[in-house]
Amino acid sequence: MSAILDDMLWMLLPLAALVAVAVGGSALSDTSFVLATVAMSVMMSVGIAGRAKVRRGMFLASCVVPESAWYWRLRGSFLIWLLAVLRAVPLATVLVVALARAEHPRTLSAFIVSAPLLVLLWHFWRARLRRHVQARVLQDVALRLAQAAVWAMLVIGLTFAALYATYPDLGDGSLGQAVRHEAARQDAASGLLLGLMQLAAAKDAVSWWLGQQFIHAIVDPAFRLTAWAIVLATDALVVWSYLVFCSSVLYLVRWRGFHPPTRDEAKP
Amino acid sequence: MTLTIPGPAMSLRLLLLAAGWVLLLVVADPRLAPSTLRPAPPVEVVVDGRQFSVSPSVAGSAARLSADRLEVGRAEAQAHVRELVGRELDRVFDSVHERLPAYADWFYSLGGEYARLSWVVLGAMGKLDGDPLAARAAEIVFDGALFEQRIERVFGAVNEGLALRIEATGRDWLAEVVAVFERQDRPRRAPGPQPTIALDDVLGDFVGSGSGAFAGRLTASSAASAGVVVGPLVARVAARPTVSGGGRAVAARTAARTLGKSGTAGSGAVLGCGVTGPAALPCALAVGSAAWLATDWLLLQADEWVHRDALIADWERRLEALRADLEAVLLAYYEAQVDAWYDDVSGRVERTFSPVAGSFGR
Repeated sequence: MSAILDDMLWMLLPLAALVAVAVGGSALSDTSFVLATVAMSVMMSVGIAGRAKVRRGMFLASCVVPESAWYWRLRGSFLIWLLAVLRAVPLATVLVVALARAEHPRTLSAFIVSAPLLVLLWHFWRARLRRHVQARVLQDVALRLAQAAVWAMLVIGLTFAALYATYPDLGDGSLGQAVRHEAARQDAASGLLLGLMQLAAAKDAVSWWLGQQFIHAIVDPAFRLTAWAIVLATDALVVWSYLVFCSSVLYLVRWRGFHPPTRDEAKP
Repeated sequence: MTLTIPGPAMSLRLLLLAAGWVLLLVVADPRLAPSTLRPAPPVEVVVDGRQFSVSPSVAGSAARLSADRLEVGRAEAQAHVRELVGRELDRVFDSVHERLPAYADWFYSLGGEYARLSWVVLGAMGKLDGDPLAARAAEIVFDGALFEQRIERVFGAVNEGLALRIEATGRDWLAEVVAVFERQDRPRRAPGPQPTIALDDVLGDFVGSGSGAFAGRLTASSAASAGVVVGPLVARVAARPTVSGGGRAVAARTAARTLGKSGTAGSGAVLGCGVTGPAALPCALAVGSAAWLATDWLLLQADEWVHRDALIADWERRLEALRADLEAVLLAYYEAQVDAWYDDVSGRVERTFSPVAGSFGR
């Protein structure tokens, strides 16, 4: 119970940072935007690389003889970090831009509400899987399951909310007009951020325009609802970025738990 | 399952957690905050083709500024109208004043005298329709229909000046309001349900075709007013009896003339026509007529010498009265037009700012 509360308290810090980006995002200067993205990327890279190392360690322990030269070669260091950075930078950028654009507070509220849920589910799966999963990957596997469950819940919830939201009527214009209209509605102090926000807005405009042009032709209401849900489920990547960020925070907070001493190391 | 009471450390953590989460939620979604703590959503303002996102209090201060600016604009327009009307009427009446000596010349000419005499006779016979003396006076002093055209030009000049003034007021207002919004503009989040204030519609009343429409409206109504107003006023001024004109003076001169002529005709016969026979009658008539005209001329000269300045002074007073009447009519007309226009625009501005009516309260 104490550990859960501690983890939830730790989660307040990154959440506060996300809220700060969401509230003042469009007022960020170029430098502030880059700093925020870099900080988030570093945090995510640490989490992604650390957890990748856990999985790599498990693979090496089960598949490669420790005395082999390949055990050392495959331990993963530079490449894991490089791949982690390559994943973290776009995810962090997507998250910062999405938060700065946040048209409706429902996304941010959903993120805040889901953070303790992620912690609870993580601890739940850890307790349930303790007797079935090796201690070396227990934290990572539990976190993956919790992450997947929260991701599914958030995507479904946000998509459902998006179905009942109001959108600009783009049905009468061309796709180009729709894209230009949505891009023109964006505003940010940072030119870099503005450009990215306009890209994201253009992506939204394409989705909405396609939906408004073609989906009404689908007769069956169930199929139409499904089609709309697919069009509107564009938040999936944002939700995933957010969960990677939260998982990275939990990884940093519980670093030792992710790297338990092996039996050999534990022996006196 | 056992229920354990959390210790002080745990309670503190729970309290911190709850407080932190509530705080984050409230910051993230202000709708969750108590209404007193909830920041009002920004107001989108569209003015001069530009879009601003400002707080309701800024929009409210812009609304107050607009209302104040419109009141100042109204006062300035009224003052400008007074100045324009005064200047234009001065210009018109200066030329009218310059025609008074011509009127006096006609008045104290033999032609004028005999015309008045004939009008007296015809009037006594009931053969006159209207006041020919007033008509003649109006024709000479006011240069016939030219005066009405000049007053129409006064309307035109005032209309144009007023339209320019209103356009300038609109541009001043626009500059001040945009400056307020530029100072307070905050980066726009994506448009949401926040109220939008579109000032461009109101702005159109001030500038470009808007001020042209106002001028057009003035022109249409003032063109009609010129004819309606000027004719009766001029007729009234010209019909007033003059100090040395009118039937009384003519009758006095006629009596003097009669007395003089009975003597001069006889003396003409005696002094001028020493002939006898058939030529005596024409000669007597010629000498008598010459004496008649000479007497008239002398009497008129005497009358002019005595009364000309008084006649001109009288007409000066009439023209001043006419000018005052015309100025009153014009000012009443323009003040009503300006008031109606500013009432209309103020109402539209107030309605435009109605989404921030709470902040608009004066």
